[in-house]
Formats: sequence, C-alpha cells, structure tokens
Amino acid sequence: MPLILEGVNYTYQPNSPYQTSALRDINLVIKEGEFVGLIGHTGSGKSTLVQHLNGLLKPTTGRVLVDDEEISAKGVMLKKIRKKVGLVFQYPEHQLFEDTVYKEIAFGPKNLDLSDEQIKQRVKIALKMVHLDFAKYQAASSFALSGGEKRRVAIAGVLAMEPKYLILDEPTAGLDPRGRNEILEQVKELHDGGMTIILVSHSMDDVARLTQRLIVMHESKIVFDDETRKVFAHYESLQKMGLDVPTVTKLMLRLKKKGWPVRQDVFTVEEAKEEILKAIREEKIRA
Amino acid sequence: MIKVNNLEHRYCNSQGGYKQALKGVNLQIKQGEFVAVIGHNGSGKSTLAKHFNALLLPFSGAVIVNELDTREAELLWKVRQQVGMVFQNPDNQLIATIVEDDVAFGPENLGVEPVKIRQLVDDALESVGMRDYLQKAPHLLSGGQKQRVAIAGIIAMRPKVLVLDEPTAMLDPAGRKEVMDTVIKLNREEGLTVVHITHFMEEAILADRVIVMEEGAIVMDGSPREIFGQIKKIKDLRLDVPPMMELRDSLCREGVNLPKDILTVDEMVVALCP
Repeated sequence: MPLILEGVNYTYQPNSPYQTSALRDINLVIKEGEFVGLIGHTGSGKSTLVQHLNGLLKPTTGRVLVDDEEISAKGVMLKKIRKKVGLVFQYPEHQLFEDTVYKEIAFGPKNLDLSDEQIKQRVKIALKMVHLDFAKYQAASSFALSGGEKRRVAIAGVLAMEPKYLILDEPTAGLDPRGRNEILEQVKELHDGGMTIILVSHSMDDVARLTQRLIVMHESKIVFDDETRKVFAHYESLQKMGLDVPTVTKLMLRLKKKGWPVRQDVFTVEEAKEEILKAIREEKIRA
Repeated sequence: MIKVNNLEHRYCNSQGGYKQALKGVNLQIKQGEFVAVIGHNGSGKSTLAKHFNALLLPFSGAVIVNELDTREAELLWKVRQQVGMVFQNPDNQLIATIVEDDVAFGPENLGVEPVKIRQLVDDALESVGMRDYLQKAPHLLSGGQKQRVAIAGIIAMRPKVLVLDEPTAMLDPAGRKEVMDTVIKLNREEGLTVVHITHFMEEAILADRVIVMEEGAIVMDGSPREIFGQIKKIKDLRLDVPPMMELRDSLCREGVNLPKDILTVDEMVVALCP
C-alpha cells in the first residue's frame, strides 16, 4: 500500500500580503520498498512536500493518502500516521533533549502504550540499526557525543517508532566524510531490510549512488519523476535549475561532445572506467 | 604571516582530566596563501584555527601572527583585527537588523571615524558582491548571502588573514559556490591570506596548499595534487578522494597512460582528448 499525493496545492499564509504558493499540483505515488531521491534548489518546495507525508502540514487543496487512509480527513488519528511515516528533519540532533541516549530513544515508544520490556527492545534494535553499541551508549549523555553520533541517536529515535516509511531531510548535512558515509550506509541497510526510503539531498553523487527513482522539484512543482539514470540525462535543464549532475556524469557528457562513443548514464568511477576503456579499445580496433 | 611553533592545546574536563587536542603542531603560512585544512571531526582543525586570532591560547608553544605573539594580552585586539574568523552557522554571526549596520560593527569597535566607516562598509560589501543589499534585513537573505555578509563584516576591519571554519557546511550547492567564488576572489585579487577549513574535497582542491590533520597533528601538507595523488593514504584516513583522481588511478592500473595530476573534469577531458 502506497503513499499518495493527489492534486496537492499548498499556500503559506493565504489571504495575506505574504501569500506564497509552495506546492502546485503535486501528484505522486510512492510504493512500498522504493528508495526515492528528492532534489531541488533551496526554496523549491522539498521540505514542504515531505511535511505533507506525515500530516505535519495539510494540503490547501488536494488529498494525501497513507496506506489508503486520507490523512486530512476528519477523525483520522494522526498519531497512527506518524507512527507509519518517520520524518528525520535537517539537523535532527538540535532536537535532542533527554539526558541519556536511552531516554532520548525511548521517548517515542513510551507514548505507544508499550511495556518497559518492549520499550527496551525497541531502543536496543534502533541503536543496532544505527550501529551504536547499546551497552556503551545507553547511559551516555546525548550532548557529550560527536556530531555524527548525535545524529545517529536522533535517527534511532525515529526508528524506534518502527516506521514503514522513512523520510530523511538532508541527513548528511554538516558531517565529515566519515560521518556522511556511515549514515548513508546505514540508510541503505534499512532499505535492504525492507523499509521505504525518501532521501532529500543536495548531493547528486549520493542520490545517484543510492536511489532507483529521482524526483526533481523546481518552483513548487515536480519537474522530473523517473528512474535516476534517466533524470540525470537532462543535464542542461538541471543546470538551468541551479542543480548539478554527478561529477562522473559530467565527464561522460563532455567526452560524448568530443565524439567519444560513451554512455551518458554513468555515475560511479567504476562504471566510468569501464566505459572509457571500452571506448579506447574500440578506437584502437578502428585505427 | 602566521607561525605556529610546537603548539600544544589541552581541553580540561570536569573530572580534572584533559584531552590533548593539539600535539605539537608546527606550521608556517605565508602572506597571500590559500590554505585548505581537512580532517575528521575532532582532528584538531578548529582548535588550531582558533589559535590564529587568540580565541584560544597555547598550552605550550607559540603562535605568532604578523610578528605579534598571541600570548601577550595587550596585543589581543591587534591580533583580532588582523585575523578575522567566519564560522559554520550563518544565523549565529549576524547581529544587526540591517546588513550595513552589521558590517559596520567591527570598524565601529575599532574606533574608526564615521566617514571612514561608510567607506569601509561600502568597499567590503562591494568585494563580496552584496552592495545592493545594504539596507536589507539579514534574516531575509539566503544562507550563501548571509555568509558573504559575515565575510564582509571581517573585510571591513581590513584584516591580513581570513579564517573560515566550515563556512559552507550548512549551505546548498548554489550557496556554496557563491561563498567559494567570493573567497577565491578575495585571495587572488586582493591578496588576502585565507585559511579554509572544510569537509568538501572539491573545495580543498581549489586551494594552493592542503593540510591534513588527524588526532591533533598535521599528517600531510602539500599542494592539492600532491595530497590527493596519495589515494591510498587519503582513503586510509577515511577522507574522500576527488572522483577524477580516483578515475585516473583506476585507468592507469588498466594501462591507460595519463598524467599524474588530474583533479578536475576539465583536466581529465584534456588528458583523454589531447
């Protein structure tokens, strides 16, 4: 059962001089088990869009359905929706507030009528998912951890709700390369374990490497929604929107322009190597 | 311009113990250099940078800025006037309600005459490309614009050195490019010495010189080509290798003949299609 947005429009501060349209006619279906990238320039509407997926914002017009349940309908238990759709904000570590890692992660489950033992299990599993050792970290203060660890604790807090859909809004912003790689590897593992993932990112190399489907937003609208490889073929339109393509793809496009027989939908160094070697060999055969 | 001699720094904790954040760092930065500092969180990058303008003082060793020893208390304001710092979060650095007041804050505190302040502010905003925003409120600016105003606030004090501590970490790609273009322009056209701390390798390759820190010490120091040419060492430190360098390396292993120092897409295109 999918996440569906049907003809969604959203206006901030309607009927005021500051009225701004942040989403225009959004139609979107996200199926279970997908790994979807969402990119767009700052102000394109990405964050507004993801806040609709768990009912933090309600559409000005249009419908949002989570597993066939319309979330803006009257009498819907938003608590149930938020359990299903986990949302990790930008800089989630800014929201840490408890004095130990255990309490921090247990905060969500505590509101779910679970026994102490069940809560403990959830904290254990969530910490395991972000590769933090329960024995070592449970009693630690969240505030004494490194930036990368804090962020993983914050993500664990969302995972402890056992969401079916996980939305991450730039989960690697501000981290060092080691922290970035760790978070992304863990997100990939979560997807391999069956979770549906929506990753909002500014890093084209990351979405290229991880996602199968890519949604591009520009000026409050969805302009591309397709397989990731196909989206990056629209190199020129993406650049016009102030976006980029992966470094390796840039190289292939340039080589193609010079008349090299290479594919353009190449994202990784490994693939690029193969393509270039193939091209060089073919050239030699011809010569 | 900056001389660091055997610098050690310790952070004390509440239990009476300490963490050795810098373990005897030696470094010289020349006037007009553009130095990038990379390394993991906790490697000592920021601790080192904060010694350049006496925000931190050495536990042992010394930091000499333009002949001024940062340990001498009476030189403090002179040192701070010469070395300006810009930090990660654009929202924590702007204090006034309009852009020009914010940029004027530094020179006002240095006791500059009002007429001159006007000139300094205009010049500083001009050099970061924000002259049209004099009267704008900072909270209405984009992240990249805010960082450029923060840089202007430093430039208005006419410093010799600009130290940037991950100024682009919280910005989107367009904002990052704005800030980097500004920094490069200040370095190349106005001869400002720049120390740029970053986690983005594509920014580090823009510098004249890259310093790699690990566990409180400098472990590598050289031109971007020298540093990123050592792919194995960079990977062992779990830092990212620029994709074109990695590609060059794997193509060479397959027997393709390529020059040693390819950092950018442009250079790779030239190397492959002479």
